Amino acid sequence: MGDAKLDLLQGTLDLMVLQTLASLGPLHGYGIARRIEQVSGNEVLLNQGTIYASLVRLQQRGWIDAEWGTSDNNRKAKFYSLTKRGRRQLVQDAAYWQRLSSVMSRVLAMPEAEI
Amino acid sequence: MIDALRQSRERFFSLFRGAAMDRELHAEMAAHLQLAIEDNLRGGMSKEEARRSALLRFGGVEQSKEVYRDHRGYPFMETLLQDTRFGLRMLAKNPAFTLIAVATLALGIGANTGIFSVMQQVLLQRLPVSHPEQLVLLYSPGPVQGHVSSDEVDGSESFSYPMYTALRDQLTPSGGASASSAPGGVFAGLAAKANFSVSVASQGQTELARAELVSGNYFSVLGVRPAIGRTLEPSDTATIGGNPVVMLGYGYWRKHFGGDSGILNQSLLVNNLPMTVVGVVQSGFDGIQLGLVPEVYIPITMKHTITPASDGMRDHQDYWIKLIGRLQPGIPLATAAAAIAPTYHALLAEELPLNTGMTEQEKSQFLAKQIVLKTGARGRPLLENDTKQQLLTLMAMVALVLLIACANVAALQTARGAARQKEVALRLTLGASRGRLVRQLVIESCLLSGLGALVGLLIAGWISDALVRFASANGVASGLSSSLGGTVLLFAAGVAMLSGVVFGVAPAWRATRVELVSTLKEQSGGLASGLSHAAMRKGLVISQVALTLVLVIVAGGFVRSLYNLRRVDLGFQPASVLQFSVSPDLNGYSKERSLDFFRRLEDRIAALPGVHSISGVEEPLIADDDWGSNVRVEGEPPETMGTHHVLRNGVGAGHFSNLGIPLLQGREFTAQDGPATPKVVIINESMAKTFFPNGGAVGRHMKFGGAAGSPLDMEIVGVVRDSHHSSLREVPKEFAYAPYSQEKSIGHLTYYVRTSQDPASLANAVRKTVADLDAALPIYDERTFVEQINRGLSNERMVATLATMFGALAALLAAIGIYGLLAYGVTQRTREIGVRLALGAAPQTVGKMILREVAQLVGIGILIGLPLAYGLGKIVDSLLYGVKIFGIAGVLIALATLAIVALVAGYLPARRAARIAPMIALRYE
Repeated sequence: MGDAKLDLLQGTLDLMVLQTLASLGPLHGYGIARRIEQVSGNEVLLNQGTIYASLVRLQQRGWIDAEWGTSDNNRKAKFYSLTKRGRRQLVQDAAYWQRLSSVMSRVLAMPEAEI
Repeated sequence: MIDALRQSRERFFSLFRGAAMDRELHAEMAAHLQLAIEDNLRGGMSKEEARRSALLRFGGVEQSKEVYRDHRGYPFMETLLQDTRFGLRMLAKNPAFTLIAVATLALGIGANTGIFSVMQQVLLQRLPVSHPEQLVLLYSPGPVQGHVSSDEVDGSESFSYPMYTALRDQLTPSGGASASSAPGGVFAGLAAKANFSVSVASQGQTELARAELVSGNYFSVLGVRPAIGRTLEPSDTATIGGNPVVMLGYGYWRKHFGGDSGILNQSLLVNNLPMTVVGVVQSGFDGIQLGLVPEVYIPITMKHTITPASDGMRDHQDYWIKLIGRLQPGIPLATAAAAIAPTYHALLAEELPLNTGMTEQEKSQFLAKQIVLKTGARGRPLLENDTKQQLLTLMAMVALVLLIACANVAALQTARGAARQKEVALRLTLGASRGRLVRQLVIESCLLSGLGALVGLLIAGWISDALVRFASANGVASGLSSSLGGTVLLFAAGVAMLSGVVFGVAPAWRATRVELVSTLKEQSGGLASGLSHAAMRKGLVISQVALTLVLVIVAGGFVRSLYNLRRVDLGFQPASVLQFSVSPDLNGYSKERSLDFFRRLEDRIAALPGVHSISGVEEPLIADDDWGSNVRVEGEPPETMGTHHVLRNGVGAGHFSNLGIPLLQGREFTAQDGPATPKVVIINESMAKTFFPNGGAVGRHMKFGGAAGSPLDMEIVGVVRDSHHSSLREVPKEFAYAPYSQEKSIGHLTYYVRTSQDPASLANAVRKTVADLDAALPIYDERTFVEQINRGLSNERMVATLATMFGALAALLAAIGIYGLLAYGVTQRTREIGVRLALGAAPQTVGKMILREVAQLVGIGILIGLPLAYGLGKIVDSLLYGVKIFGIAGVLIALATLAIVALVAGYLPARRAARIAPMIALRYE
């Protein structure tokens, strides 16, 4: 596991975070991580702590906003929400992934050569 | 795209908010874990399980924080800042080391910056005009007939006024146009200038000033504005003698008129002619020739007021103008020169019939003359030819001094590295990469050199100040600034960075190559690492010795050269002689009135108490002034008649006995030789040998110039010994002296007054005598003859002084280096020495052992340094007079100096070694 793998994971992780915020609304870091774990059926082996690197990147790009607030059980937590730009970026990236995955499926469906 | 920019901006700002953001993150992660634990508890886990599971799912907290930080800011910048702060702390912890290192570096960097500051102005600085790269200087090497006045060696930079106007009209879009680009024409503008001294009278005071005669388009071609009023314009030079207007130089205006704008439209008497001040040149423009700052600018068409005897405006054969042009934008030099050639050739062909005195060969050479273009971006070259090479040599020397200083600091760093072994081993064990450690140590070194550079700026300021004052006091170059401009500061910063890396990398590398286990276990006396450190320091000392040897040899060469120059036999006796100059022609005196004035002045001064004799000459002596002529001499074969060039001067009665120049044959000039009596001439030995190898020069005839076949109307009445005329280094050439009273025109003289008392004390009396005769006549260049000769040596004096200083500094630094190494060595080997002493060795033997080490180091250093000195010497030899850098005497003296330095440096450690008490030493860890 080197830097390269982390980078790839960061890119896709960013997309997952954006989608999670789009569907669930404002949420704190723990909540986002838990949601991603649940939705992906625990297939994504995620160190929850790495979500914070993703969150700071998305913040710096202006795709999410952050604010301190209180959770359900009255705990202070930092809540993140999608911005307009973030919503636009999400639509773009999601479309890209759909195209990519359909192309990949078609390519990988090519029959194997007879030797 | 915008998002990426925003991200960069946020990353940059987070560099400053680091601590606060870290706290926030910590709070956030704590909250995260709390939420996770609560969820687990609700899911039925026990308290410990809940906690463990939450932590496991989270992953490593510290690692997550690291990844976060990597994405939040610029890790490289952050570590750099971290290293810098750490470095500063380490330096503060070791004040003694830091002080010594900074002081050493300040000397080295400061000296380099100081010399660079002067060198940059002399060699590199471009004129403060727009687009200086478009400016070109024009030269036309080749034979000429007529009168040439020139600053440079061959006179190729001088043109005649008719040639200038012809070139201007044919090569610019509209003759005399401004520097705006117009289609056609090689030059956007072509301007002319010439320099003279004038007398300026205002508010009752008359003084000499440096005047620059300029063409009307001069300021627009250069792109120079006025500070107040207006610049001279082409309309000012439209008619000859038409416009009596002047512009003042900025510095002159500040100094003489207090910067008062009221001077505009006032009238000044320039050479007794009223002229109106129309403007002052902008601040910052000091003329186009380094070392020659014009004080007034006069339209070139007013030349007859400057030199009443020769008009020069219509004479094709009076070469006195320097040309500077601005090329059309985008034209390279070569293309321009090619474009000019046909036009110039046609003009030369027109002028050819005037050259009646030329041989056929000379005539064809004349027609083949080309205009050579040289870049004018830096203005005209410095008058002193050797200055450039001298400055470069000084820069090389001072760079070597810096290297030696760096070696000292590197040695100090190495020692410190050895002392910090434990710290380094610990950090390496804890996972720091070697590269990171080396980087941190190099940053420390750069901090040292940065501090050294800051302090060094002070030293640079002093050096620069001293050099500039020396230069202007000795007439070498005026108008140099001693302030350290932007380029100089950049240079200092660059040198600091470079030095930091140079003396930092090797010790840093060495410091991080540590035997981890043994170091941490504090096993001292580990031979492997100890030796390596010492080996490095020995290498440093050896290189210091080698460089010091080079510097001392070179310095010795300059000193011996200066000594030789001082002892040159000038052919006359300069001691006890006062010189001064007067220029009645600048006050409008005619030739007759001038001669009358001179006669009365000489009589009066000769009558002053203490005055032995007095004589006057037209061209002052040992002032880099040469005046020459072609001659036609009796007995020459007709083909060569008129082709021989000799130097000449106009002198007064009794000149040779006054100066102490021996008369070999015939007689001197007397008061009887005057404008009405037959023309006479005295020649020197060399000329007599050339033209009359079998003797009998006295009684024969010759003439300066003149058309072929015209009578030789000057009779040779005497032969004198050769003597120096314009400089100390010259080789005596053929010389002819004529009485100044028999010259076609005479209006200024330089007098030499021989006194039996101190010549300086005569100055007041002389000034009063002149003032009694004419209160409005200024007297200038008054100094003792010896002082004048010293001025001719000013460059050599400056170089020899600086070279000696650098050599001494180098020797001092090398001595410190040797001492440091030996003292350290003695400390390291205390045990070993104790054992030797305990086993019965005599203390002197131990001392000698240390000294032998010194001898070894110095010996190797010398072996390396000698070939270096030889190579460098070859390059520098051309600057010296009568010696070679690598002469036997010089090398021996340098070796002796080094030997003394080594002895002195090694004495104390050797003594300490001999004094070691064996019992204490044996217990020394």
